[in-house]
Amino acid sequence: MNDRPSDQELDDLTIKRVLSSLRRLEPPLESRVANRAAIAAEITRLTPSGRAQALPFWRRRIAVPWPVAATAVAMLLILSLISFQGSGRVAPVGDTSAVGRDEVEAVGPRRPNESIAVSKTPALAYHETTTYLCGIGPLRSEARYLLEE
Amino acid sequence: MTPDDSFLRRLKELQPAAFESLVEQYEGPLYRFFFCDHRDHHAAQEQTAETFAQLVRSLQTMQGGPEQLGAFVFGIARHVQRRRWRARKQPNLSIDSALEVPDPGLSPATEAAEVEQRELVLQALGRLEQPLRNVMLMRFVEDCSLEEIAKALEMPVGTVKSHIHRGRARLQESLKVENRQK
Repeated sequence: MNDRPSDQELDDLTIKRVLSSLRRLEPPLESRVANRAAIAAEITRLTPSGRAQALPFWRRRIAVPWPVAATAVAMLLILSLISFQGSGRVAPVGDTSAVGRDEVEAVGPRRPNESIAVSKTPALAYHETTTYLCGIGPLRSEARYLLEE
Repeated sequence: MTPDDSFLRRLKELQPAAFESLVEQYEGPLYRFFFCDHRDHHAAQEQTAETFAQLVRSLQTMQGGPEQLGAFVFGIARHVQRRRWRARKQPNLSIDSALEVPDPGLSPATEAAEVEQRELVLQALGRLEQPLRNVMLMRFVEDCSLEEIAKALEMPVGTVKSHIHRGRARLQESLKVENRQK
């Protein structure tokens, strides 16, 4: 009794049988060719080589081996560090361009008809201040020349 | 053929051989899906090719495993179908186009009987409104599961069952009418 198919199953089987003729409906040859051509065109468009051909040269990506990329980055870092350290270099001796003019003028401009009698010759003193941070290196460097009596 | 994980992975990697297998498996069902909607075989050809092109573009975004592939394919087909409806405002029912479809390997008499039978079935199916027609086609011609139909047509499984129940009754009625007219 339980082996008999239900009414719904019979109906489904009947409908399947009726509609089975549609299963033999196959696309013609030209449709098969068109399907494959459409897929091939899309794959060409989406693959990297196909995409690259469609872009102007300044928008194309290039593949660089990682050791080359790592070396380039390391060189850039080294050059950056060198240029950073170079900005804190001490001015050469004899270069008075860094002299503080305020200090010089603090001596006072010479008044007319006044003989200058000084007890001692003013001396040019060099002061350099550098701030180091352990593990990093020099952070700030300052050099100045002062006239001292 | 049940797709496996490696097949889906090869599709997502855009390997041509994997797409050849995909076309072999789905070009017939997709062609029938479109043809039964409007019975214009030129339009069915175009829509099938468009569906495959869209598949290549969209497979990267497909979620789920290889068991979802059938639903994904028919889901895209449904969107292609709807675009045509919107463009044409109503489906095109051209009876003559159905008779032009070739059916190789049969004798002329058998082929004529086959064509006549198919025509009766197409007319009965054509009397069903959408989405009943899609549901009946996917269930009884393409042997899709209820879950696949639900996912492809973006409706709950309960709604699919309801459509099948109504479609079954309407189809039986239509076929009786066709037989009486014959």
